[in-house]
Amino acid sequence: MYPFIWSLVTNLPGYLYVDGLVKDFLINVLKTGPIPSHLSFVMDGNRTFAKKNGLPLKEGHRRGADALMEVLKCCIEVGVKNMTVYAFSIENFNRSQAEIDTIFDLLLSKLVYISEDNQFCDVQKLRIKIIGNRSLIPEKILEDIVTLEEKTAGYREHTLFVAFPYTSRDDITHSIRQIVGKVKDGQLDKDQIDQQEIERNFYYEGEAGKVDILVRTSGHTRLSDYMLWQCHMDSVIELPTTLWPSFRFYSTWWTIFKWSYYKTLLIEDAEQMQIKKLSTEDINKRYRKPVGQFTHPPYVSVTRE
Amino acid sequence: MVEKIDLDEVKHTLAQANQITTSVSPNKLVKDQAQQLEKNGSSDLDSAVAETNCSPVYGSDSFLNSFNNLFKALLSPKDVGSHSKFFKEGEKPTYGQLTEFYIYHVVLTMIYLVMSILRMFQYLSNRIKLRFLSVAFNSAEDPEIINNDVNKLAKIPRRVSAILNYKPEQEENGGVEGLCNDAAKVATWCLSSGIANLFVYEYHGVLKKRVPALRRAIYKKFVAYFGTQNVPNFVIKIPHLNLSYPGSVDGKLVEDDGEILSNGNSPKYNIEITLLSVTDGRPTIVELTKVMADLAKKGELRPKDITLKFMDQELQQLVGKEPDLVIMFQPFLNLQGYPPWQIRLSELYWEPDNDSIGYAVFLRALQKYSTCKINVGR
Repeated sequence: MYPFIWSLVTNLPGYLYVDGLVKDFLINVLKTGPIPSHLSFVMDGNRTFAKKNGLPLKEGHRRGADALMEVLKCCIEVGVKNMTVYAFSIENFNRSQAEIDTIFDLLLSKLVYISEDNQFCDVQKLRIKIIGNRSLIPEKILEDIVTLEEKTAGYREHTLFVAFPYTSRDDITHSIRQIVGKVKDGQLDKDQIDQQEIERNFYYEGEAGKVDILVRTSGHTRLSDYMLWQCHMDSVIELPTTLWPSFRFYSTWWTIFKWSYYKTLLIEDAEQMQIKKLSTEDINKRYRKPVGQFTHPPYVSVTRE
Repeated sequence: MVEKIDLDEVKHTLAQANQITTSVSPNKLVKDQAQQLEKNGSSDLDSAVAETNCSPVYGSDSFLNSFNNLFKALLSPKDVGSHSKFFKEGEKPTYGQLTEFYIYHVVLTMIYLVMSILRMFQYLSNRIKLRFLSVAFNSAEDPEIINNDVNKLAKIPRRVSAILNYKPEQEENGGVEGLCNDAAKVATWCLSSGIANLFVYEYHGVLKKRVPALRRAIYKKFVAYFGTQNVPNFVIKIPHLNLSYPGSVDGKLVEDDGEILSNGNSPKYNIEITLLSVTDGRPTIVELTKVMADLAKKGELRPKDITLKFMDQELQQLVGKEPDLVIMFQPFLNLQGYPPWQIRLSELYWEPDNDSIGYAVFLRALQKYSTCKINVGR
C-alpha cells in the first residue's frame, strides 16, 4: 500500500521542484550551524540491494555509484571540506574476476566522467585524490588515475579521497616503512618520530585530519580494516541499517545534522566552562577588600570570651 | 572499457606482504624500554597520554541541560556564525545576508529543540528497555545459568574485549574499587560462558597500576560464583611491560609474585585477563617505529623487511591478538583510542544510553555475535 501511495506522490507534477526547494532550504538551515570537516563512507550493501530487488549485480553497483554522487553533492553544498569513500579494499581481490572487473570498470568510468570538462568536479570545484596501495593497481589504470588527479589538482575547496585499493593496516605499515626509510637515509631524526609524523606519511600525505564522521551502511557493526587510526580517537561512527544505494540526500543530511546538534551542545558547554575561569587580575579586582574589614551581625555563643 | 585485471600479479604482490623476511624482533626492545621507564618511575608514555585527550562528540546530557544550551546557542549566535559555512571567507556579509542567516539559524535551533525533545523520549524508552532486559536476563550470580544461556547460541567469540570507564569516587560503583569490581564481573561472565581470553581496556590505565586490588576483587568474585572449593585459576597480563601476575593457583589467591616463578612450570590457567590502556594504541606504534628506525640506521633491518605480516607479529607481541568482540559499557559508540591495529574486524557492541555493567548487555553482545557473518572482503 505505502509503495503505491509513494509512487503516486513522486509522479505528481511539480514533485521534483518542491523536493528541490525543500532540499535547498534544509541545506541553508544546516549551514548556519557547526559543520564537520571530514566525512568518510563505507559503501556497503550494493550486492544485498541488488539481491533484494531482483536486479543483476552490476545494477546494484551502478545504483551505489548514483547514490554516491547524491551524497557527495549534499556534503559539498553543506560545506564539508574532505570526503573519503571506501571504493575497494585490498581484501576485495578475493572476489571473483568478473566482479572485480565490473567494479574497476565502473569506478574508473565514473571518475573519468565526473572529472571531464564542465562536469561534476568543475562545477563543484572538487579535487580527486586516490589513497591506497598503488603498487596493486594495474599500470594502464594507474595512468588514467594520474591524469584525472592532475586534471582536478587545481581545486582546493573540496577534496574527494578515493580509497582504492586500501586497508588501514596496509596504510599504517606503509607509513612506518616510509619513516624508517627516511631515518635510514638521514632525512629525518629518530626523535622527530611522533604521531603527527606517522599521519604525515599515510596515503593521505597529511592532507586530511581525523575523520569527524564515519558512516558504514547496511548495519554491520565492524570497521573492516578501514580508517582504524583515523577514527578510533574521538570520531563519531554511524552505523545505519540502510543499504548504500538507498542512502541518499536525506540520510546524509540527517547524519550531519545529528553531529551538529551534539556539537552545538558541546560548544555551549565549553563556553560555560570559560566563564567560570577568572584571570588573576579579575580575582584581585573582585577581592580587593581584606577579610578583616567585613562587617557581621553580633556574635552569640555558649562560650564566653 | 577497462581490460581484464591480472589477478595473479596482484596475488603475488600480496603474498609478498604476507612474508616475514627478517629475524629481528623490535618488540623486545620496546618492551625493555617500557620496563626501564616504569622502574624509573617516570614514563614517557604517560606524557604522551596527556597530549591526546579523548573527548567524545556524542554526549548524554540531561534534557534540561541540552534545552538550556540550545537557547544559549540561539541567543548568542555570534561565534556560531563565525565558524559557520554560511558566509564566504574574507567577505563582509551584507545586512540582507545577515538577516537571511538569522532566519535560517532560528529554524535550525527550532529543529534542535524538537530533536532534544525526541532525544528525551528516546532516552526514556531506551532506559525502560534496559531495565526490562536486566530483569529478563539475570545471571543470579550462578555460573550454570550463564552457561545455559550461552549454550543456546550458535557460536561464541574466542577473545572478548570490554571497554570500561573509570568513574569518580563519589559516584555509585565508582573509584578504583568499583572499576576492579566491574572487571571482575566481566571476567566471571566470560569464564562461565567458556571464553578464556579477556582484554580489559580502560583509557587511563588505572587498573594496570592497581593489580593487587584487581586480583583480590577477581578472587572474591570467583569465590562468590564458583564456591570456595573450586576457584578457577587466572592470570593477569600487562603486555607492554611484559608482565604477568598469576592471580589464583590451585584455588589459592597468590599474594606474592615470587612464589610461582620459583616453581618453574607454569600452571594451567582457566582465564587470561589482559589489561590495556591508551598507551597500547598510538604511542606503542610510535615507539615501535622509533626502535625500528634505530635498527635500520644500524643496518640490522631493511625498510623492505617491514611487511604487513611483520608488523602484525610485532604488534601481537606488544599488545595482543585482535579481539573478536568488543563490548562497550557506555551510552554511545566511542572507541576511546582502543589499539587501532587490533580492532580491524572486531564486532562492536554497545547498548544505547546504557551506563552500567550488566549481565544483560554482555549476553546480548554474545547473542549479536552469534548471528553475524564474517567474510573478509567477499
